[in-house]
Amino acid sequence: MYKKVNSVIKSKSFSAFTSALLAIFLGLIIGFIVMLFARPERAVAAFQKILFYGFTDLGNVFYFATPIMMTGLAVGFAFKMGLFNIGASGQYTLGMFFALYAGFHLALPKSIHWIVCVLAGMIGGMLWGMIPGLFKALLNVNEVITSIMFNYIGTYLVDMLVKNSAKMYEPTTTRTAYLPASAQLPSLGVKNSSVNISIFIAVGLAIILYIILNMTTFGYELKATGYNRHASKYAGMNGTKNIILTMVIAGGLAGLGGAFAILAPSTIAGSSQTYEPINVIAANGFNGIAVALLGNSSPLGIIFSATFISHIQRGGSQTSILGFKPEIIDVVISIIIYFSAFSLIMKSAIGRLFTKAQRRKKETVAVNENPMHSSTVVPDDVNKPELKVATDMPDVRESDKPGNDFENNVKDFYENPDGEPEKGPEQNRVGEAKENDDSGNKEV
Amino acid sequence: MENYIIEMLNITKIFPGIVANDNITLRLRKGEIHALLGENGAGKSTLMSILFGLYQPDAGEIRKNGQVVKINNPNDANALGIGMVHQHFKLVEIFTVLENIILGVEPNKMGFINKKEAREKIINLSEQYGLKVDPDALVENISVGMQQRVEILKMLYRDNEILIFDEPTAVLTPQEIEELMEIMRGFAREGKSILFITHKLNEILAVADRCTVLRKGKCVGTVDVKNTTKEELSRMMVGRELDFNIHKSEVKPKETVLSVRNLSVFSEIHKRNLAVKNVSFDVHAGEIVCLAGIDGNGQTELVYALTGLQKTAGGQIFLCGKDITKASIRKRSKAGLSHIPEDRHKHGLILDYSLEENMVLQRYWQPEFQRLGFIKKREVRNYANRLIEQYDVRSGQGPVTIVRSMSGGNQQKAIIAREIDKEHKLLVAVQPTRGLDVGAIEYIHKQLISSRDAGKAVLLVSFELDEVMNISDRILVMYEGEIVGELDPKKTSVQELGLYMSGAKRDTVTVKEKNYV
Repeated sequence: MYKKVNSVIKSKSFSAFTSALLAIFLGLIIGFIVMLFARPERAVAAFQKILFYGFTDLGNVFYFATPIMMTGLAVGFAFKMGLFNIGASGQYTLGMFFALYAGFHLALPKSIHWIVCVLAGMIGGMLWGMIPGLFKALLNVNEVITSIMFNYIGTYLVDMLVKNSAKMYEPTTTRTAYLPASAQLPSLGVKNSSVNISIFIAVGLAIILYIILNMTTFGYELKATGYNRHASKYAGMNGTKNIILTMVIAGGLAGLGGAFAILAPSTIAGSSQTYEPINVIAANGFNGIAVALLGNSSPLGIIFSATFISHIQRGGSQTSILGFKPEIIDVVISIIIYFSAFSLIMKSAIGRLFTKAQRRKKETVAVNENPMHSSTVVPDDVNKPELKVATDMPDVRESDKPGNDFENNVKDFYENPDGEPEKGPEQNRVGEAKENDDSGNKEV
Repeated sequence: MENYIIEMLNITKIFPGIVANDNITLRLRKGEIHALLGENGAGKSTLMSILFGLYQPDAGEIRKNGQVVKINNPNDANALGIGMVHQHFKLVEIFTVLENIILGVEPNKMGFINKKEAREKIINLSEQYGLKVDPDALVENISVGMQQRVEILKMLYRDNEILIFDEPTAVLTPQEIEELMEIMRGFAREGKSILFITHKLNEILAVADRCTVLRKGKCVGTVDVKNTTKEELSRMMVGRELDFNIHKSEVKPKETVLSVRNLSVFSEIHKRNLAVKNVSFDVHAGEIVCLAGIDGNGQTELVYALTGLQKTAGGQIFLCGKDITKASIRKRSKAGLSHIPEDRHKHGLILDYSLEENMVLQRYWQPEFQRLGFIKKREVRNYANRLIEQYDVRSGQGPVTIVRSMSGGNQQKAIIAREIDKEHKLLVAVQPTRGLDVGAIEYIHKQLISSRDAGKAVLLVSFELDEVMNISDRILVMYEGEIVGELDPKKTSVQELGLYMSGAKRDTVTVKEKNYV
């Protein structure tokens, strides 16, 4: 029994979970301090709202969780391959536009209209995800740059197309017109809430992604590439194909998020969700990054992290009743989300704590036993990288991290590269981009 | 009571899950060359890192001239006159030799570097000890041997009197090794004290005064080199009798498996230079052909071109008569190419995957292991278990062990199991024993030979001269991207091989089309 518990505690997903909880906890404390500064006498009441209001309005929590769950999946899925998909916003916007277009321009019966609109949204997102994927795979253009730029291109393009369309745009309200009811998603019938069938689709997709990642050869290749793209190339995996496919899937997920957001049923009969083309990049796309980080890029984790962030946001929106400026609440929410990004630091901190405790336990037990068996870690493997970092000579291999796993990416901002394999001196050159040139699987 | 310049007394250092140094005592006399011998993982590097201030010991103390000192970082070590030449040099390649030597201790006037003063000191030092360097050459343009001399000058420039050499001969040719030994003897004569880390017994017998042997983190003993033998040292190091001779049957080469014709490959680093120039050779079934040469003479690029990791610039590669010059890596693998890569962490393994997932890295797509894109987990587990048993791959939790947590030797064994077990006709093994201990090396050599005896063609790339001489049936020497010699290991000597490797001697090698069938 103890062994079982121990193996759970030591497992990767457990440490990811505890670190996420710790990050949330710290974020909440700092958020509370900010609220104390803003309005000390009401801070406790408002904080209670943030924590507990969501439970009284679960319908809207899930309604607002759906789009960020989709963008979170879009970011997290690409992370698994080592791709930093910052373009979820653009893919989201394009998905929304395609869904809108299908909603206004197709006259179909209720039973299939919304399905067609959802699929149209997915295709829109796929297109917008595919372009950075193509650039990355074929021309080795860094996906971060292209996807950021495609956020702008997508937003402005959609806003322009919407404003120029007499059918879609209502100049008097400066928003899009109401979508026909047939294009709206079936509601779940919760009072005062637009929660709809898409939350089930989103959760279902997350589970499918989990299966793809963990049980299929495609998932095997994808994660292998994310962990170590050199080894995946060595194993004969088709990096070009996989990069494009991953970006298409990620784009499709974000596009679905956009479609789900705009096609959600309105609580007021005869109306619908509308979009205001004011040249602002969709925040849901960026929130997806936070969702993915907090969920450790795991599809199942993202279900929970999206729900949590939506929960906090719902509660935060209620604090304006207590006289808090909406901006302050945005700040508090941002702090909480911001701290969620620290979950990776927490993770290594927790990991260190555990190993320290265990070492102490072991030392008392096992000092007299044979200290090394050929199956245990040889210190060379462990020490040498540190040794390299710790010397007074500059370390020169910044550009050559194995794999672009997003964990590595983020971790490297905070700590020295660890777990790096030793390399011979000839591979240690300064100032020379060191790349293998034929896979299209490189960075600029 | 003798006078010791450095005493490391009862040093213990514990890393998670391992006691790297267990109550080790090492005493260094003034003016001696003291060798530190041990297998990989015996704790040599850890002990020296403690002396150099990179780690703090968990127990024990360090004394200099009888005084207890605390070394918190390399700067402290420097202040005490301790200098170290690392196995992998720590040089800034885009700086000149001079700039590298003065790095960190630049003589300056109001913040302006006074290079003239530095240059005079460097020239004096290099003349005094016979360390030939060009102060104005860029480090990236000088040879490995000269880079090492720069590292040594760095220590001398800082007036260090205790010099640590961490496996200094691994990257040198036999001639350069001879030179280095002479330089070390010179230091000892001048009264400097040298700690010399190695696992090569011949070098210890040639140059050291005393030798301390470590095994599995413990100190086995310190011996006077004059009164010992190679056999005794190896017994102390490994803990059992070692068979230095490799037993293999007569070579019986059969049909041509690999033939390379006029192959050229661009350099991995300098994209426009050719790293492999117009190379042609054959490898036959049932023989081990060794590509010898100093690291960086095009072997890496040649192997990358053979295995498909890098494009060719010209020429053709045939595997069993089929042109695979432009084939994808997967196609080559299907055609019967197995590859034990040079860098097991970069190419060979996905360290965050479990052992079983790594075992099918080359085969997960085969119908045996997947159906309709879904991986057959049970088959993968059974297969991994079979390989683990058959090739004696040891790990903490068997097939589900994360490979990162395994020892280097067992990681390499896993790769070898995977590549040898896979259906193949040609095995390309690049430095398969690098960084492994003597026992693992013995094992891997046996595997290579049994692969050859099973009728596979083996292409071995190695920088270890002993390995080249003992394992191969035929030696091809590469120098600056060309094959400059074809030697028979039975008829040549290490010295002759060294001459070819350093470019001092070269033949025109032509491929003799042989059909052994």
